[in-house]
Amino acid sequence: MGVMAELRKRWFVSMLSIAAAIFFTVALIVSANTYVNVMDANASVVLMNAIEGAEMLDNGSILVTIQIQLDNPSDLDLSISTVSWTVAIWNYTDGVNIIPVTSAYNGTGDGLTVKKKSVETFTYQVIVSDSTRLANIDGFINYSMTQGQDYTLETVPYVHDFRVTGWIADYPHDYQTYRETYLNDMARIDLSYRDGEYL
Amino acid sequence: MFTVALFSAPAIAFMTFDFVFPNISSPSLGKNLLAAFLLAALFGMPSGYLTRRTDLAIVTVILYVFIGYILSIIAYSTPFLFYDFRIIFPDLYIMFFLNMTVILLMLFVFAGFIGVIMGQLLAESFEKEETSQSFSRGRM
Repeated sequence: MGVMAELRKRWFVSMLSIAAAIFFTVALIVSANTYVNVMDANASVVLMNAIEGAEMLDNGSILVTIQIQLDNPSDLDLSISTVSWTVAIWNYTDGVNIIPVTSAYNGTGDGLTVKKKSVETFTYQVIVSDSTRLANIDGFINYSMTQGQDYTLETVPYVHDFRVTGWIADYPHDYQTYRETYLNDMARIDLSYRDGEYL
Repeated sequence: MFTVALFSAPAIAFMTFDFVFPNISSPSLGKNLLAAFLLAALFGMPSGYLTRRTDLAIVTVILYVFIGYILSIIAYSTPFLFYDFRIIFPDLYIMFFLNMTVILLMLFVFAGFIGVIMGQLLAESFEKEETSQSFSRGRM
């Protein structure tokens, strides 16, 4: 008896097998499509249009700001995990001497989500009024003056370091073993903007 | 043989893909080898059930595991085959897949053989029942 005759004779098992084959084919196509979307999100999500600012206030403090956009052109939402921003002055005269100016951090509890095909703007503003920090900055300005650089509190080369991490569509990402950590990396975005460069 | 192999190949393809990417595939077995083994045995049953000759049924298992594995490699390479993504280290990329799934591949073949035995036992059992029923109808 040929296979087709056997299939007709045993139609119930044949139908079940065909239904299962269709189900798994659809599941494979859907999963592969998700994989493409995740890869697309990994490649296309970027930080852009950073605007840095430093403004001197009447009371002698400085208002340090950054505005930066996170562009998500992919078909998946992003769950933002952490956003951090630090501002410092890098003094290279004797090794690397980092003069901290300010910093800010937002963690997972904030529940920030960047919707698919949208642009999210992050704005941080901090007034630096701590006398020790201002004295350190003044010290850098004075030292720079001896080296022929004429800076003010507004024109000091502040190095802004902005970093955002998150998870693509919140896919499971708590794999702990060495052989599985690639799954965390696949669903993760980790973007930085440092000293004028997008990393 | 090829037709019967096509019944089981998609399940093998999906389970292999799911084993590599359990976090993004749906529905997912979550890297559960026991579940993969049981499902693979289940999908070996049509080969035994629909093929009378045991040697052909065993060849069918090897055939559908091979087809399923090739399909899973295609699914794994979808972003690079059908879209404009670029693989940085192609050899490493494929080696990674083989490394992750080689044990699973053996498991599928082994479970398939067990499925063939179960399928043939089931087919024989049905045939015995059909025979006994047709004889009992004849007496009436």
